[in-house]
Amino acid sequence: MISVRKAELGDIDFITEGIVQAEKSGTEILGYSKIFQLSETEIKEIIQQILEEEIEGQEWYLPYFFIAEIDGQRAGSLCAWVENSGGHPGSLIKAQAMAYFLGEKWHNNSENIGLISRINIPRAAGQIQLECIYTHPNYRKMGVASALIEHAVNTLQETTGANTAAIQLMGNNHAALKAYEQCGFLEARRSEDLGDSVLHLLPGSFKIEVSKHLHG
Amino acid sequence: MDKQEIITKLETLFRNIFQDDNLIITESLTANDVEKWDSLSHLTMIAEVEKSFGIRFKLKELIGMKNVGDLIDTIQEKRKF
Repeated sequence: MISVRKAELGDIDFITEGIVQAEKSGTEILGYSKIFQLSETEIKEIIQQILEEEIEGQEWYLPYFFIAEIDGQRAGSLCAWVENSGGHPGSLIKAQAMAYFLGEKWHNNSENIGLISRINIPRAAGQIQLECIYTHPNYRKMGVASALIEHAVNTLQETTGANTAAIQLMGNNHAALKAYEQCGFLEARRSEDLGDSVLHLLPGSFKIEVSKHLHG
Repeated sequence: MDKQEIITKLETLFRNIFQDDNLIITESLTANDVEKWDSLSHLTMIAEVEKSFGIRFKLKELIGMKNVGDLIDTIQEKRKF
């Protein structure tokens, strides 16, 4: 039996692991490490610092996270929010927080940054956004992700009245795409495909946004 | 450093980062108005502004910035000391 609850401070380590694994998108490539030329440990420290600061309006805001449990054990996590509800895009707020915690540690590689910008799909204001969807390896194929998605969408639809939910993923992540399609999400937008030459930097060469219209 | 000097310096930085030679700095300018202004170029912009003006933003200052006017005011405030 899967239960879903709001995340708490004690979940930060689990959520951080979930964010990193979701970013890797089923590969061993952590884009943030490659872009900023930092280790996975350093990236995890920055994610934890942002989660602890509780900066609203961007995806790494602790109150946006839900935790799925099976037999009292954490089985998965996801974050969900309504984009731009505060009038400022979540991606820019996250970039501002990252700029602070990265400080002078990172090396500006404009070529890598330019590449990643090319597969960016801007999030639509007013839509429910689902991100960092993660299932712990011990609980795969048990419906954890779909339970999290259903709970988060229902909760946010009820509290905000939003009528569309969207998920962005790497286009090469066929398993995730199939799982989201089974939850009723359909491809809505697709970025430029940068080809295999970027696969040393990113877990995929293009992005897809899937979305679902929610009935009132 | 007065406001006009900050604007002139920012304009050069912004034109370079966002690859737009015609970009004009106004106080109401936001990412919505500039084609290449996304999350990653935003991060680059913050790092370049800090380096160029010799300042370090506080987290609260960064999160409070909603447009270029806020950025100019924060730079001006920090350059007073």
